[in-house]
Amino acid sequence: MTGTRAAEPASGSWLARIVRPPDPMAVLGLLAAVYLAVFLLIPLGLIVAQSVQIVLAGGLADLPQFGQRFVLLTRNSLVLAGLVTVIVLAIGIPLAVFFVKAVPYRPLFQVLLTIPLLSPPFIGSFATILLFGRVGVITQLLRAAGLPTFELYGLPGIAITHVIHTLPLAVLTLAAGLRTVPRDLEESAISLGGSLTQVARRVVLPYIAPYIWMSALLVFLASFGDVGAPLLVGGNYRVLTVEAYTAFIRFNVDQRIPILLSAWIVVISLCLLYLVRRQMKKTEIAPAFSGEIYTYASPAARRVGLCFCSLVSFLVLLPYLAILVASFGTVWGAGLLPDAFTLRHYQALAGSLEPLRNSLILAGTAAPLAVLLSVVIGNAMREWGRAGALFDYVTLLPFVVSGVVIGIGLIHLTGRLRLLGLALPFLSGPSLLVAAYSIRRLPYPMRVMSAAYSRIDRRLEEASYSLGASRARTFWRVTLPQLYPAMAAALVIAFTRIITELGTTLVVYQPGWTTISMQIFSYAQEGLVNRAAAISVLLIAVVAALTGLASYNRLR
Amino acid sequence: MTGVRLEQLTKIYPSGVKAVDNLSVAVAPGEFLAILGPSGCGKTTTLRMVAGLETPTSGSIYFGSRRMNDVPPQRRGVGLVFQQHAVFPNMSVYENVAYGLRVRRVSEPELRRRVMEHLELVGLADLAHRMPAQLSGGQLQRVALARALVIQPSVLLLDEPLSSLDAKLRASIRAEIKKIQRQLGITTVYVTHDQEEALSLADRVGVMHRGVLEQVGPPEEVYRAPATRFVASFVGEGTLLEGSLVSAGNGLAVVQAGPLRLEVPRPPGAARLQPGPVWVCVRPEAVQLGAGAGNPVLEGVVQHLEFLGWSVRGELRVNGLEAPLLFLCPARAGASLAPGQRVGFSIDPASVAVGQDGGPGT
Repeated sequence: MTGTRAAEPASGSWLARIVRPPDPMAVLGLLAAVYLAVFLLIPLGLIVAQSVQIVLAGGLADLPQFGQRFVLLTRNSLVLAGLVTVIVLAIGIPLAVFFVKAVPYRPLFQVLLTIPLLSPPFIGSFATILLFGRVGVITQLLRAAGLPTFELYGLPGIAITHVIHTLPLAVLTLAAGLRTVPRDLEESAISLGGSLTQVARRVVLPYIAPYIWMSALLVFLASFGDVGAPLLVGGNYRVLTVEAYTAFIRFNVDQRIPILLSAWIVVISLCLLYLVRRQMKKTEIAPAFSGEIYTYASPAARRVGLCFCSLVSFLVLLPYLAILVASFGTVWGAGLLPDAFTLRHYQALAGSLEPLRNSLILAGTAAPLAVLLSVVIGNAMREWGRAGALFDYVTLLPFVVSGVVIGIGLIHLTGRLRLLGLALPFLSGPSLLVAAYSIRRLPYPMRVMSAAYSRIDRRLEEASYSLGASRARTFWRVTLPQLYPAMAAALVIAFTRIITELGTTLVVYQPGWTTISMQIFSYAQEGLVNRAAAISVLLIAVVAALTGLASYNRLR
Repeated sequence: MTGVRLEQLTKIYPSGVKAVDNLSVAVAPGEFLAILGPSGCGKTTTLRMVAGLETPTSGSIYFGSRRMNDVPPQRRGVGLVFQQHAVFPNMSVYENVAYGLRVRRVSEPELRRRVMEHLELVGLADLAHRMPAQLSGGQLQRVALARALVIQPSVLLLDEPLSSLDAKLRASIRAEIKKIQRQLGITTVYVTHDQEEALSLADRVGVMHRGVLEQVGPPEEVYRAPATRFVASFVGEGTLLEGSLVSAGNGLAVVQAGPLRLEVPRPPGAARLQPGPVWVCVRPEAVQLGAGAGNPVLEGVVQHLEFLGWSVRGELRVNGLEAPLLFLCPARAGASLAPGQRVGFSIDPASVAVGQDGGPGT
């Protein structure tokens, strides 16, 4: 009641409080900090430091035309991400409004819109090839109708893939925001004589502004950092991430280039980090409201809503439909359907389940690790005062920085250590992949856990202290049991995000450890579309089953 | 039995807010002290400092003769009951109560005996193996009480333990807390914003306002002889008027407030009034409709009648007074009243309190 929820940090420096010897949680917190430093901060720091070094040494002078290229790449990346963001918001905002306020069968649409979230974005991109490519179904339809067709490879291809992939994310974020708008607010606005659209524009949208910002940032970051789609359908439209990746894996390219590009991506991402954190705070704490929301009751509005939502869901799901068809098809050349259907691709799949096994092993190790990290870090964030707030920024880093860059940083670091004669066993092979994944996807379980921590009543812990229990015992007996449900949810999210990861995987790849995402990607790149499709269906099925299991558990 | 002594306790938050300002009070062994004040007055912060959950900026906390400032909450041996009960949701009622004993490594038979004994004390023995989610708010609060008492704390601290309960339950648990506190004779500090709770439960009531303990005394004293304007307005009902001192002496103060000239008896030991402005607190029971016992009769206009069941509450507008006088009368007598009616009334000075702002003792 006096507005002092948390126990006040004791006087003295934060260091003195952390280093108080008999607190295992503090020790774990420090270990987590070291882990983050080794696998995230130092790699990224190295890249930036080395770039500064290169620039100061006048290295730009002997990289002819790099400056021009640099500007072009930056412009391309920003144009792509900006374009995708604008399109997604333009479709997503009305879609979310209809979705929340005027649609029958909402759970159905909810499920449909979740499907793209369960797959890596590049799956969408080879599906767009099936639809919009030179002999794609839609291209053929357009041609038959005498309409102009367009060249998919390039900006259109990437943009279409990204829009389809990020639209559901934006809609679900916006919908969460719309559910926080109290009914009274809209009803009083309407009683004052506003039309529905006026009220939506003047009252509702300003109210959910943080959610609009948040979804814009999510979309922008996803598009800016992605490497799969630009590689597959980018054609000659080169973006920063792709250039950094291709320069990095080719030995005949000056190795200063990927470092410079990566550092530049880090700098741009850091600019967005502050914004992301602010909007995240606003959209995370707010949903305390759980009352009634205003819905549009008029049959006309509901009809429009149903049509709009169905149309968009259909468009969003079309690529996945195409994948499903292709996975059973033989040659899909000229024609609206493949020439014949077969189970051949699935049979071939059964013969090479190694990538799936690899993915399950890696994700099965990295996901619990990431959850453990987020439990420990979440606790440190509450207990360490100002030092804890630092964690908040650091754990968001992998969210804003492209996976390719994180991978480049890690490989760069291990290379340097090897030069120093420090070939540590966990810095190579599968354990490096596990470390990379646990860092790269940390923001997802972290978000779940920090929300869970903020829901814990601190008084329970204070009651435990007053009964004589130590901090460790209190954590173990009182705090942790309340986190179990969130930990289960975080585990599933981490697992699915890891198994669909591509950017870091491509860079950190360790011989013998091809993952399922990588396998799909290389089949797609080699033009083995049907095989890629079959494996994609398998991946989506695995992820969907896990997610379904998790939400079933939550509902119980 | 341990007493609690707070000496010049001050808490300033990093934001610069002074939550508790130079607070000193001593709670005798076995005494029940209620700290009463509006939300944000610093009463919860005070309690949390006693429990060791907040660190005082300056000042000292003593349990008996031992200075407790540097003792962590784990070792203070206080029993703590919160507003939102804070019963561990992942443990049964039995395990909740046993928790503090398990920490202390009490042997199993002894633990069982003490847990059941305390569950019986709060009337929950037959619910020992229920989970908290299956209990009502009142039952949860009893679990919290048993859990706090079972460790035989030297001090029991209660932070608005009843405010999340509905009115009926509140009364019954209030009676229970009082009974148990008497039975165990445990030193108790009880924080609340509800004056009824504070006045009915406590041996002494401390009234807190903006971080300052403005008055500490037995409930009757705080009600009859408020030391400050805030205490007069916060505790009990009544009308606060601005007046001036005509004369003081002989345990009697003569004050003039508009047309009212009152000879107010002063409690022994009350601060000496200085010539000048005073505040005058007229309790509703001071306003007697009809001819009073030898007090001058005045005239007022009835406003705002509220029917309260056994009584009627109303206001009298009196010419020359800045605020209408609050009065209560039995419902039967009130039945003949109507808004706008002119009535005669008198004021019993024994139910009037007088004080001065900023003077000594305020």
